Amino acid sequence: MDMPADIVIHWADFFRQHGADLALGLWTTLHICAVAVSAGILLGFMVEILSRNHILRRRILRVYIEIFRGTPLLVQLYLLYFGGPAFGLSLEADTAGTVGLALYAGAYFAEIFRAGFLSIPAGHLEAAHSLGISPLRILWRIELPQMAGLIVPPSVNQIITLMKDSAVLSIITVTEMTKQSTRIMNESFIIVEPLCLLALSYWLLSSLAGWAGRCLEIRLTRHRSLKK
Amino acid sequence: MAPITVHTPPVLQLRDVHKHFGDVHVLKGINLEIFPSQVVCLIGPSGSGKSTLLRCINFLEEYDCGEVLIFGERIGYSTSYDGRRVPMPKEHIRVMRRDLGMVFQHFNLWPHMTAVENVSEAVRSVKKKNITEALRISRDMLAKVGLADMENRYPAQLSGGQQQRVAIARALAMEPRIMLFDEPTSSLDPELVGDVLDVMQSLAGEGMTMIVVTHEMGFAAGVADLIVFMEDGRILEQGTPDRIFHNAENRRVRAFLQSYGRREKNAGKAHTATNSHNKGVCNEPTDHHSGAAGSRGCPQKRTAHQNHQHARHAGRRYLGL
Repeated sequence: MDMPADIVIHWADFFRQHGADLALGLWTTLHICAVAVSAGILLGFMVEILSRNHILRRRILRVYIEIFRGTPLLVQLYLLYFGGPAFGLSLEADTAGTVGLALYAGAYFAEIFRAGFLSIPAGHLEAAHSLGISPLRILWRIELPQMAGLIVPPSVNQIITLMKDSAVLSIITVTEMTKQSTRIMNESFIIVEPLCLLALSYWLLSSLAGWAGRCLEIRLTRHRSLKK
Repeated sequence: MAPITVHTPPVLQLRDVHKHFGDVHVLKGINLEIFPSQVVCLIGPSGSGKSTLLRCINFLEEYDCGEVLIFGERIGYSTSYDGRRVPMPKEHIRVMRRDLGMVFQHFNLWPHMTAVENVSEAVRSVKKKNITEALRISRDMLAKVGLADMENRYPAQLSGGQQQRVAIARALAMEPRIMLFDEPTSSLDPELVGDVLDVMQSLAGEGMTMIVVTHEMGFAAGVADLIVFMEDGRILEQGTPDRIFHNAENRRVRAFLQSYGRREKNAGKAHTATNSHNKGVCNEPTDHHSGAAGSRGCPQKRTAHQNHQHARHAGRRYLGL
């Protein structure tokens, strides 16, 4: 296996045997991440909206944030998947993984949204209040668009972290990329190829997310960089 | 022949308004009545509670006791059956605020919206106009403040004075019945102050009821119908500009205005460029300007010019602006 042609044949062989499994793993990772990230953003947003201007709710939701931010994702997944049945909650591995990842993400996104809301100068809100604009409209038209540019970079950061953290789901038997790769390794004793492909896949996904984030950020902060 | 007196109800009444920030007693019993089309300037040293008072009027700041009545209706609180003060529903406060336009020291334009979007936002969402109608109103308002060609610029692309005029247009587009100005020119470069004051002056000329917290003594002396001098949370003295600026009873008021006169005079010497700009804006003949700066000889000059427009210019001349 020292000629270039041999290498090509070798990889073609590898893909013929395991390509379908790897593609399935990639698809599972993508779709679990998409659902968990969306749910996490929504959850974080709701947590922050509910805890604004309400001390009791803030304290209660703070407990959620502290718990999910303060314990390892793996432990949370174990509790949910293996410990769940003890509390009458038996979930499929995929569901448990998605829910676990979303709850974990929600705690982080809540903090990102909190920072976003804090970034808005009080005067901009006073101006809106003095005009009699409704709170919902203020949120939608003034607060969210104004903080969007600011929360995109940390959110992209968080999404990339979550995508890489989703590898942990393999431990609770979710058949995502990492699980598929380790299974191939165990079954065929091919070590380097699946691992390299796995690393490359995560890197590509992260880069894609990073690139999309930068595009979005440029678009959302257009008003700041305009010339007089 | 007895003079005819007409009893117009005040548009705004403050009765014994108190306000604390923690342990600090910021407003110590403010009583004030403002009538339709009056231009009231709140002046006084920093930290005297002028801005807080203004913010209590549209309830951006809660007051601890007393009453703020807008067109006879109390804002912020209502009285329950047993005489206790109960907070008013937020929705109701929002409705009451529609009569009050507010302009802030730091403009507070929304940076992600263009000038015309800033102006039209509340017209669309609060006055429920459709987008075409809202844009038409907004463009009219921008034209009114002299920014017809700036409608598609973002706040970052506008100068401070232009931003403040957009903010004025934004408030005016809601057709308020009272305008509140919270130090509208304090964060502007000196050469941009004139444009904003001109807009405010023409607004006063149209009969808008205005309450202006300001350090622009020239504007106060020239445009206001009533000057209210505040210090340490109290109204020390109120009266016509003529009385406050030239015959104030309170020693503290006299001392404050004198120190202002001196400072403005010195500033006037140092920045002749600023002066000439303001003159240009006022269309004021140069002979009125010379010699009158900060001098006590102003009252005689004012009596010589009875018409309103000249009285306004005289205010600026008084302080050598």
